[in-house]
Order: sequence, then structure tokens, then C-alpha cells
Amino acid sequence: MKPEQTVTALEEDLNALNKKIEKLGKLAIAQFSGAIDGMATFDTEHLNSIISQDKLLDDLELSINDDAFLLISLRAPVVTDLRRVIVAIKISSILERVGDYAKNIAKRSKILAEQGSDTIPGVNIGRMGQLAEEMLTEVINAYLTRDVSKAIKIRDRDLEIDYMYTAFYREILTSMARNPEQISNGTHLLFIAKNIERIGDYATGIAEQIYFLIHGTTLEDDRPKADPLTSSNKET
Amino acid sequence: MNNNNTIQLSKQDNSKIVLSGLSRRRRKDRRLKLYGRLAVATAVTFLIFLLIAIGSKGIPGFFQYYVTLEINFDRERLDPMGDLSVDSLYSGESEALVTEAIYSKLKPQGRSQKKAVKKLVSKGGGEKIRDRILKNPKLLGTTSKIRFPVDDDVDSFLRGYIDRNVPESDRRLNDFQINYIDELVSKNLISYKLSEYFFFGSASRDPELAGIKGAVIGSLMSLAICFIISFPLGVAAAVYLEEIAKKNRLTEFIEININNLAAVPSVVFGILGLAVFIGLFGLPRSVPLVGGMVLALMTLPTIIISSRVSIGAVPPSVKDAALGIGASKMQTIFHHVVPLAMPGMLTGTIIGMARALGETAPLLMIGMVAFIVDIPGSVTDPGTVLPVQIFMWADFAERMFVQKTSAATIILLLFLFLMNAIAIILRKKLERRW
Amino acid sequence: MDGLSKKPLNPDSLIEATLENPRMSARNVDVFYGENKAIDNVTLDVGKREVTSLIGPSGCGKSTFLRCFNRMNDTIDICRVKGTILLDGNDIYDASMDVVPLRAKVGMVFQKPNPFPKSIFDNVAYGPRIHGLSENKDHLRNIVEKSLKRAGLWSEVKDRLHEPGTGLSGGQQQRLCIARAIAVGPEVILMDEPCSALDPIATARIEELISELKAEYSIIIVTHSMQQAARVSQRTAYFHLGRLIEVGKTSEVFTKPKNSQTEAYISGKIG
Repeated sequence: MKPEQTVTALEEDLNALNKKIEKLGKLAIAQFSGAIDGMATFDTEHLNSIISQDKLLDDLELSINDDAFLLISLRAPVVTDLRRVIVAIKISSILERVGDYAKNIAKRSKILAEQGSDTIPGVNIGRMGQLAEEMLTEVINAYLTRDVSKAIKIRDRDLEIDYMYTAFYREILTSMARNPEQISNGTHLLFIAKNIERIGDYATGIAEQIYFLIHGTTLEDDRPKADPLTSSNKET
Repeated sequence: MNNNNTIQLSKQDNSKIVLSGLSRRRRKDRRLKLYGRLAVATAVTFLIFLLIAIGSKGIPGFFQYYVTLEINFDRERLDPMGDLSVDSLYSGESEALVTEAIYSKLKPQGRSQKKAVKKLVSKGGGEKIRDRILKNPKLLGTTSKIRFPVDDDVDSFLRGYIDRNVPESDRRLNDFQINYIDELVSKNLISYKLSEYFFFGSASRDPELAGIKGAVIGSLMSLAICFIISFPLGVAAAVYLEEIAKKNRLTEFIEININNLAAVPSVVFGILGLAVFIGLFGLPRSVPLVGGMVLALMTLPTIIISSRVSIGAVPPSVKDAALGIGASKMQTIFHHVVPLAMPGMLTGTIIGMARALGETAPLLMIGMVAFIVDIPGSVTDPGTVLPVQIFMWADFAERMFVQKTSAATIILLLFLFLMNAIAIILRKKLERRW
Repeated sequence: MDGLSKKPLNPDSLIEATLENPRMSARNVDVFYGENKAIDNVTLDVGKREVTSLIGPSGCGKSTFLRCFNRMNDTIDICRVKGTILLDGNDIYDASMDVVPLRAKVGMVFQKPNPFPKSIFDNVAYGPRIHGLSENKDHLRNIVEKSLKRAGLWSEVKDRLHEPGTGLSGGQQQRLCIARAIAVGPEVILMDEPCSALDPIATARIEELISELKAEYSIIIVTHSMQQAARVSQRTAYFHLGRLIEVGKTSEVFTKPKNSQTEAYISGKIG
């Protein structure tokens, strides 16, 4: 863009949309981070506020959808500009689901807190949560700075979370088999772990959207996966 | 957005300024309108004066005085050879019969009285009798009343131009004649009618017999020759210059020269005609053919210029459409451009013709001043044209010629008016919206 | 700000300029108006039975280039065309090529509808008449009817064939001009911004017509409207200041243009 050109209405609208995605991203990260903390501290008040704040993300996603629809109707964006709008819609949908999962983690943490459980020894869900949080933060950063190479790297780190989840999955199953009274807690923990793993997947999804935004083609789907259903070592 | 360094007019200030200047502007407008109207009124007044002047002088020229006499169509005397041939009639006594008829009405005594009476009727009386017989041989052997033109002096007297109170030696009519005229008037033998001589007679030294027929036919012939030569040539030249020739210095040079030719005084073309057509080519003088050729030279620049403008006014989209469909250049020009340009070309041509109709100088140069009695039968017979006829009549002193001059001028003006009207109608009818 | 990869004018964007089996080929075409170079070394093929659109900002030379294909630039004295344009293997600028039958094979529809000031029938019949395409009156009537039907105008004018062509509405006049061009049986139809003087509904009808016509004719259309190019053409060529910048399938040029300038034009940032 030449320096003396004024900002067009289209550019203004796209920038505003971008800001909303940024806000939604920050909210999603905060929700997730808060949920992980709450999982460690079992602070019920904190967990409650996480749960109620999810509404903010839902509303923000709806408003992003409305803005995008209006933008397409009135500005008829093409090529790159059109990709910006489409990617914005998809990423906001992903971030809203991240928020839902964060809320779910908080809910289950609350239940675990009420049941006064100890965490299952040996596995640090917190570590997995931290990793996922890092991924999410970095991928949103990559989106805001349009850094494709960063986005591709994030995709690869999802492998780590998958391994951690697989390990955790086996541990909890073993533990539940040995101590049947832990089955209830164990199940919650499993779900929490699954949610965190899904959030890792979502961060990857956002990374793929960033690639599409910049290059206009989809990243090949042969990224490494290691979830227990496909892994070659199956344990009963 | 306040700019502190310049005086910013508020909307209200603006309105006030506009309003205050408004009455001055309105007054200026009104004054301007008034000037315009005055100018138009002055022009119209002058035009009316002109028309009244011409009309009042000329319209009486369409009429003349006649005297009604009884003629005994004596067969032996009028047609001595008995075969109704022109020779026979000319060797007859038509003139004598006229004289006898008027003698019988007025009964003059003595030589001077008889002379006076004889002079009252036009010399053309005998000719009229012969014409009547040729048209209607059954008249022979009968006695009929015929109207004869009175002599031009009598005509002038009857119109009031010869004053009976002036001493006799200063008058063209003597006292005897005046008395006889009075007698004819009291006997109701004098009538004032539309002059058949004016419309159907040709040149004559006698004013009461003079007419424009020869000149009109000469004019029409000359115009026809002019049209036949100048229209095709002019249109073709315009088409060539506008559509076919490359635009270079040569064509520019030609265009400038054609424009200049349109402004050349027409007498120059007459000199050219005299030197080249008559001198070099040896064509006869005073014939409509040469007259038409000279007029054609004169009209060509006008036709070329107006045709070029019309051709240039054809929108290029029509040419594009024709060329785009695969028409050749010639097909484009003749199927599309020329038909669309035709209204303008015709209008220009008719206006050129109208101008040629009124031209005198160049035709004088090629000698169309001859006193031509016979009506030209073909373009190589000697003839004259209407404006030249008027010019010649204007030379003569007789009162009646003066009137006929004005009358002929009216006829000429009517022709010009008619041609311009045809140009306008043609243009309206042929105009095609594209 | 966007981090778009800015590609310089690369040969990739012109890879699709040539085709296997083109209807017409332009090779290294230069066009001069006096000293001014209006078209610079353009090589472009035009496919059979498809619509090729030429897009670009005002003054980029697309109309000038279009007019090379039927030698309409010949009518402008100061215009010189260099290079080769082949129709069925013959160079149309060869000295032995007669421009008259060429223009029957390569027809043209102009920006402002320009029917002849004749009747509707005579408008369509003029071409067949001068080229001697009809054997008798019935044959001629047949040709006129078929052409008007193909141009989608027959039902509206069949009862008033002898009324003047100029009495029709703008959209109808343009369809009449299309019928007129079709009547001489062309292989290629050139359209120079055919809808720019028409209202949106008339435009939509002409665009539908173009989509139908491509089954029989090779069509090259110059258009100011990118949406029109996107709707109507299968192949798009983008011009800028007399040079061909990018050529490709319309679906690709409008979603993933190879050249940044092309994208800037399509997004409305330049031109």
C-alpha cells in the first residue's frame, strides 16, 4: 500500500474484525489459563467466575460472525481480503470452543475439589495444561503477527501433548483398575486431560488457518498424530 | 475545521451577499432582454417597410389596363391563304381590324384624331388576334369581344401618373387622347385585370407587352445545368476529401482554397467563363448552357463545404459498425455515410442554388444581356435569366417598366423563398435519428 | 502489514498465455499510436468455444489490443501494428490478407450499441447481403430469423421486423448488434465493453447470452468490471500500461493470482 493512500472502508472493517479476534484470543487464553490454575488450587470462587465468564466469549463470537457477514455483503472482498474474513470466522469459532472446553475443565475441577480428591500421583496434568496454554498463546501471537513459520512449528508441538495424553490415559486406566473407588475422579481427570488435548488440537487448527490465510492453500494433513486409537501400542 | 487565518464565510453571510446582488443582476437581465427585443423589433420593422415598399410598387405590376373591342373575325382578311398557317395569318390584316374596331367605338375625325385614337391600343393587338385564331379557328367568321392591352402611356394615365392639369406640351398624351380615354372609361370599355403579358409574354420594347416567361425559362434552364454539373461533382469531391484522401499538406491546401473560393466575388467566375468557356472552348455566348456552367463553378465550393460538414457529422459509430461487419470502404461510404449525410448535402445544395438563382454579374459577363424575344427552346438557344431581365428593365424609363421591374423582383423573391422553404422541409423530412 | 508474499513480475504469471489448440494467436504484438507505444510485446492465445476476458485499468490498452484481432486499427491512420496474429494458421496482417472477409470471420460488438439506421430486418440482413451469403429471399429471411433467435431477440421483434432498429431499447439494440454480427457466421466474436452502456438487467441478459454463445463461437470480451469477467469468462488476461501481466483460468486468477499487481487490481487497490 502506498504511504499516501488513505485507509479504505474495507481496510477499516478488516482491522476492526482483527481487533475482535485479538480480544477473543486473549479471553480464551485467560479462561484456559484460569481453568488450569483452578485445577491446581481448587479455588472454588475462581472456578465459578471462569464458568460464568464463558458467556463473554460466546457473545463475542456471535458479534464477530455478524461483522463478518456484513463485511462480505457490503464490501464484496476478494482474494486475500476474502481469506482474511473467512479465516476470522473459523478462528473465532475455534476460540469459542476453546472457551467451552476451558469452562468444562473448570466445572470438572470444581467437582474434584468438592470431592476432596488428591490428584492422581505420577501425572502432571498441570504440565500438559501449561504446554497447551503455551501453544495457544503462541499461535494467537502468530496470527496477529502473521508469522507462518511460527504457526507451522506450533503444529509440530501438538505431538508432545498427544504423547503426554496417551501416557496419562494409560496411567489413569491402570490406576482406576487398581483402585475402583478412584473411578469417578479418574473419569473426570480423563475428561479434563482430553479437553486439554483437544485444545492443543485447536491450536493446531488455528495454525492451519494462518497458513491458509497467507498462502491460499491448505497445509497437507500428514501432520504427526499420536492419539491412543491410532497408536501401534495398544494396551487393554 | 476552523482555519484561523482566512475569513470563513458562514452560510448566512453567503446568502446575504447573493441576495443583495440579486436586484442588480435582475435589472441587468431585464435591460439585456429589452435590447434584444428592440433589435428584433427594429429588424422586423425594416423588413415590413421593405416588403411594403416592394409590394406597393410591384403588385400593381401584375395587373394592367385593357380595352374591350368588338372584332369582326373576317375570314378573307385574316387568313388570306385560307390554310390557317402562320404565314397566312401574318400576311393578313389583324392589325387593321384592331384599328377599325377602336375607330368604330370612338369615331375620330381627321388625321390627327385618328392618329391619336390609333395610339391608344397596344401594337400587340394584332398578335393577340392571331393567337386567338390559332387557338380557336372557329372564331373566324364570328364577331367577338376581345380585350386588348392599352398602350403603356394610357396605362400610366389611368393609374394617375400622367396629370391632365400639366400643360399639353409637357405630357405624353395630348388632350384629344385624354378625352377619348375618358369616353372609353364612361362607356365601361376599360378594365383592370391580371396581366397575362407579364406572366406569359417575353422581352419586348413595349412595356405593356413585356413579360418574364423567357427569363424564367432561361433561369430554370441555367439552374438545371448548374445542378447537373455541381451536385454530383460537389458530392463526389466532398466524399473524396473527407473519407478517402489521406490527411496531409496537400489536402489541407485544397481545403483552404475551396473555402477561399466560396468567398470570391461571383463576377470573377463570369470573367473566367468568358475567357475559358466562350473564348477557349468556343461555346456560344448568352446561352443557358454556359450560364449554367458559370453558376456551377460558383456553387461548387458551397456544395463541397456543406457536404463535407454533413459527412463529417455522421457519427463514427456508424462507420465502425459497417466496417466491423465486413463492408468495404466504398460500401461503407455509399451504403451508410452518404445516405445519412444526404439531408445536409441537399440543404446546402438548395441554398447554393438559391444564391445562383439571384446572380446577375457573372451572367452579364458572359453576355446574357441580349434582348431575347424568343423563349429559349434548348440550352444552346440564346436566353436570359430573371435577375438580368430585371436589371435590363430597370434601365428603361417608362413607368410601366418600373412597375414590372418591381413585380419581377417580387417573383424572384418568391422563388428564393420557395427554394429555401423546400430546403427546410426536405431537411426535416429526411432527418434520420441515429 | 499483511505479510503477503510480494512476487515480482515473473514468467509464471504468463505460462498460460499459449494454448494447445487456439482459435487465434497473437505473438509479440506491438501497437504504436504515432510515437506512443500502446501495446508492448504481447503474446496471447484465444481458445475455441470459450470466453476470454481482457481486464485492466483504463488506458491499459485492452481495447487497442482487441481491435488488432479484426484489424479495426487499420482505420486509424497513425496506428501501426507489429507482430503476428494468426487465425487458423494464417497471419491476418499479411499483405495478401483481405480485410473484408476477415471481418466476417471475426465479428465485433461495440461499447455503445450502434445498429444501422435501417429496419431491424435490414440490420441483420446487411452483412449476409454484402457478403453474398444468401441465395434467395427465403434463405435470407431464414438467416435473419436464426440470428435473431440465437441473440435472444426474436420473440420481442418478430412482429415488427420492419421498424427501425434505433427504436429499440439499449439492451435490445445491443442484442440486435450481436445478431447482426452472428448473421455472417463468424468464428470469433470480439466484444468491447458490450454492457457498459446498459442497465443491470440488460447487462445480465447479455451475460447469459454470452454464456450460451460460447458453445459455438470463440469470444474475447474487454470489460471494466471484474465481476463481469469472473461471471462470464473461462480465461482471464490482465493488462497494465500496455503489457500483459498475467493470464490464466478465471477461477485461478480471481482466487490465487500469481502476480501481486494482478491481485492489487482485482482487490480494487489500483486502477
